Amino acid sequence: MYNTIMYTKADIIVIGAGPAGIAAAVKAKREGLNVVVVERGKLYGSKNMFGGAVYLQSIKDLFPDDWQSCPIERKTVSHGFEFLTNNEEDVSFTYSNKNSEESATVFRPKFDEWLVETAKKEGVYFAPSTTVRDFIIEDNKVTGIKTDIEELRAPLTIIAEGVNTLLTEKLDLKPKSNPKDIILGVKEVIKLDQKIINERFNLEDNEGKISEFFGGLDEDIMGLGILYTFKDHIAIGLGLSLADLPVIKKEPYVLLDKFKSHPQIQKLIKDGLSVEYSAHLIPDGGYKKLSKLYKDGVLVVGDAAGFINPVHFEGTNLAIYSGLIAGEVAAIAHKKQDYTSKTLKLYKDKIYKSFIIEDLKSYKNVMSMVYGRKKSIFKFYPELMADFFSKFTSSKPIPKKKLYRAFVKKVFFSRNITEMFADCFEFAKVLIEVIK
Amino acid sequence: MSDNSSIENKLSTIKYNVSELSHLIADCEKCKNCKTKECTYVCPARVYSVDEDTNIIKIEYENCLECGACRFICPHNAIEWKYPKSSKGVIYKLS
Ligand SMILES: Cc1cc2nc3c(=O)[nH]c(=O)nc-3n(C[C@H](O)[C@H](O)[C@H](O)COP(=O)(O)OP(=O)(O)OC[C@H]3O[C@@H](n4cnc5c(N)ncnc54)[C@H](O)[C@@H]3O)c2cc1C
Ligand code: SF4
Ligand code: SF4
Repeated sequence: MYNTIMYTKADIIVIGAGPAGIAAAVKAKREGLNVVVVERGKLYGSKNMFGGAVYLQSIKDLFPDDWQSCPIERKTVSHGFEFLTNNEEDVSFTYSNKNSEESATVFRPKFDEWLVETAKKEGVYFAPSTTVRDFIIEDNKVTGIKTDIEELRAPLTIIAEGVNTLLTEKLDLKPKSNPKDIILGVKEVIKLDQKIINERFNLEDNEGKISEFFGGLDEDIMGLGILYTFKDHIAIGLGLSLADLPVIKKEPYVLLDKFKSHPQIQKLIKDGLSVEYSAHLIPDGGYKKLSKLYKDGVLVVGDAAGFINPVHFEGTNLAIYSGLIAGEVAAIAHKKQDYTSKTLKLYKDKIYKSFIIEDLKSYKNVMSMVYGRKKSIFKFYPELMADFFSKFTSSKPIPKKKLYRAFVKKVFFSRNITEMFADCFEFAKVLIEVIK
Repeated sequence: MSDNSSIENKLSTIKYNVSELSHLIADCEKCKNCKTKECTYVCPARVYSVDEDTNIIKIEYENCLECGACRFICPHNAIEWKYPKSSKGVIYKLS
């Protein structure tokens, strides 16, 4: 199936044909190195799922000449934040900008296939259907990989295996993550007529909307709802704290059905046909739980390293930028013919000087705050907001003053004052960290 | 335990290239003594179920989505978790 001669000449082996691995491979190839990317899937992207939107600047930076051929579905022009309660109420904010060029939805199998084909044009070599099981280690240095069928050698291996860090753990670059630091994403892709999607979400043909939903599940779990629009599909999903599921004793698919049956969600997906269910994890430990980034003969990029900003759903872009930096450092190591930690440390230095770490650092306490205050964020405040607006919009022949007083009273009676101060304090603390 | 139609309908939308061999092996002894059975609550594909009479964990590996959730959640490290053989397992098309 593949050409063994290429392997013996490989300067770098990359494990995983996701955005991180491909970016690392492309960059190293441009610097003149021979690169082989091994991928366990037979079809590229067939093992991968995500919410739905890639960031266009990162695609342009990866493929400056070819980015226009990226198989995008809809460009995001509208981003909604919706607060749900347990009835038909819904408070929502939408940011719309018809000229926005920030992000666009893609299907991972099509997108990953495109990344691979574009990288191949630049001379990167790919080996699909190749699952890496272990490393070859000599004198404490990683000098190659062991797959289902053979051993392959190269002076440098770049680990881009994604969130399920079997190989990264094997090299003691990180411990197995605590379930508290993991989000489980479950999603259904639903087929719907393009015209109906346009009407329902107030979009033109190529325009897309992304929505995030807080509340509505009525469970004691950190669970965020997501909705993405594609040409003639919509994706509806939930991000669930892995640690919470056994506590509430509810399975992810049961929660997804519950979310889908919420009246506000129902009206968005009705008449659609569910065409693919999927699940995938998200590393959620942030800055404090990053893996070690290098070791003699090894670099770690993308989700495997923990580069994700879950507050903004930024993952593919951090994967790409970390990959580009790894490719650059690989070339430096190649020039020096030194693949030990001494040279590879440069990767860490460059990552720590980049916006990746800057952002992860400023967000380092956000997710633990959200987790700690999940009742407030996913239940109390959505309900409170709906209550406020129901009073605000009320036309009952009752003096407004009375309604607002009732609201204020409710706020203080339904909520322990210390809890409310704790909320304010925690929100303010992380806000200051993000902007300082 | 939930109504099975919810998950069965969902799984019926997914394409698999099923391997003859299970890539998930649980340590029966550990599972028998496990009171909390976390794996049965986190698995998005309902791969794990408990036989009410024997308390033995049944693994329908054919439905696995290869997400890794069971590996991270199991408090007893009871699962020998491997990816399926190259090119086997789940095949997403629109995710
Ligand atoms: C529900 C959900 C929603 C998300 N939404 C967004 C979003 O809207 N926007 C965004 O930018 N990011 C989003 N993300 C995050 C994003 O998907 C990841 O950050 C990104 O895919 C990471 O890229 P990667 O290349 O590091 O890893 P991956 O994309 O996971 O790629 C890893 C590759 O390695 C292969 N592999 C793994 N192990 C082996 C092995 N042993 N041998 C051979 N091959 C192997 C895998 O098959 C895979 O192809 C979301 C994630 C989830 C789960
Ligand atoms: S796999 Fe782990 S969580 Fe599941 S029953 Fe066995 S020991 Fe318990
Ligand atoms: S890897 Fe995911 S889908 Fe497979 S058995 Fe474990 S939890 Fe279930």
